[in-house]
Amino acid sequence: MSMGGLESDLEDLYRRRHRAFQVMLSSVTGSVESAMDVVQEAFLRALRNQGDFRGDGSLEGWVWRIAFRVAIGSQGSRELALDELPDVAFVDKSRNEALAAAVRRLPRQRRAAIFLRYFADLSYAEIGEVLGIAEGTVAATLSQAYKELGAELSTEEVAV
Amino acid sequence: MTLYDDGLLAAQFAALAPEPLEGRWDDVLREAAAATAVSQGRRRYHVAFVAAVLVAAIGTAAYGTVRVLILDQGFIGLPPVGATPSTPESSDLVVEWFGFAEPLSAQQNRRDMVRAWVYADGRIIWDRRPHYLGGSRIPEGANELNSGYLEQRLAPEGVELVRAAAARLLAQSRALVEEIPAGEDPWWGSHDSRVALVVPDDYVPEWGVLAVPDGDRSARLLWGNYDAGFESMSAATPEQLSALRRVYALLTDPASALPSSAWSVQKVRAYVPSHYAVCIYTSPPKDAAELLSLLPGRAAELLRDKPRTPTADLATPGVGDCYEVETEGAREVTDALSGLVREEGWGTHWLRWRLDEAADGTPGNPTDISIEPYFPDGRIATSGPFG
Repeated sequence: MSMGGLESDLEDLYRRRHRAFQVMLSSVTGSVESAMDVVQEAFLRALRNQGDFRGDGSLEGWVWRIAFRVAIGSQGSRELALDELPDVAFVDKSRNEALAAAVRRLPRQRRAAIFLRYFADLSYAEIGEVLGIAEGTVAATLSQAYKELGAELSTEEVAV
Repeated sequence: MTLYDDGLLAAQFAALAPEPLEGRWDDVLREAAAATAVSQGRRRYHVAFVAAVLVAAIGTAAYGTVRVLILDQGFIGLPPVGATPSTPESSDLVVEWFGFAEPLSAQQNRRDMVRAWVYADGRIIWDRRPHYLGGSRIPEGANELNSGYLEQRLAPEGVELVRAAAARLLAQSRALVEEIPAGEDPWWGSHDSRVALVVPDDYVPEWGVLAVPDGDRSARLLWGNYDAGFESMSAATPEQLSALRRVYALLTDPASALPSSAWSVQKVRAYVPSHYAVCIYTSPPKDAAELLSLLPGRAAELLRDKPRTPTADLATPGVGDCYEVETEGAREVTDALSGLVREEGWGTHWLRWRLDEAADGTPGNPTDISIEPYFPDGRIATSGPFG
């Protein structure tokens, strides 16, 4: 991908995916409005720091990492560290308190992986890129999360 | 396959996903351009993080020195450097309101003054001022005396609800509706009102004005109790009182009056204009060159080539000129005027200066200079303790 085309790639990414960014980031910030601000700031930083994108991963993964850094208030260009994972939760847990409580009890990395999977709609590979872990580790993380959720929730409680 | 497979959890999460907002890629581009301009410009600011100026709140996350984009706190006068102007820059006014409102604090026994402007793009811009010192303060307000101009965004449904409520009230009060030029302040404008709807003494809102633009005219309705002393007054029917109460609720407390589907952004933010008007008023009238000659040389130089509109001061006697400047230009003019006497209320209600001597040297006829924001419909705001 050439640097000259990065702006249009970012625009394309924004137009396709800003809703997913908002939904995911609202679980970090607590509201869609503040999540929208994070999305705007993240894409702004991506535009301004295009030179930092090395192209060794996906553009979307790079922007996700920027967005998380914005959301958790971190500065600098280093990679998102594991202990900087955003603490995610449902904006309105009252709509499914059982699931919200079960998810809340997951360790932070598993919780982040679950939200990235279902709110951000990312593939295992993309989740791995965002969290800085191998794709296989993502599969294991999600598998463990499913198991823990299964232990927490009864069939009735998770019935849709 | 467990119960907690992809499909089931995806459905569970989908049911819990909040409704996202409309994307604003153009805002991102504009911000990027503005940031570039600032970094290349003659004034390079690294904006310190201050309590009153927050990037749109993200819980209690420590933001350190994140560049300011959105102001969550009202301000008086000029915005902090780097604040993102409200967009779009221009929009049509749908409804305008000015009147009393229930105070926010139970300890306050007098009304707040509230003004609100609803625009076709969904913005509702408003300000609120307690009727006396020590009144209630809204959390997002600039200070305890004045909220500054604040902004929220309605969805199209919300705009339609406001438009319909205003139209209903006007339709019910047809005989009392007056026409004034669109863009003219419905209260301070040059067209004195002769008629008004009379509301009971204990009614809220006990006084106010509603205006709805239509082409180059605005339909205006005033109301008050009999003490208001209008030339011709007509007692309100229960239907009119009900319709008025609905408009009042929508425009002074929209968060309570509107459903969530009527909102685009309910969070309160500062209205950050793109342009300001530097206005010079004096009496007796002077031509443009004479007016400019009253100012400190640097201020006159900054304004001389700017777009000029002859105007009248809506709040105090006097005629003069208003010059349109961008925010940075307004900042420079403010610096150039720093040696002048500041009017009472400077910084808490407005940016206004006074020349000690009148243009003709006549005592008692001072020259006022004010800096006011432009609103999206192109009008110049009228700040001050009572608008």
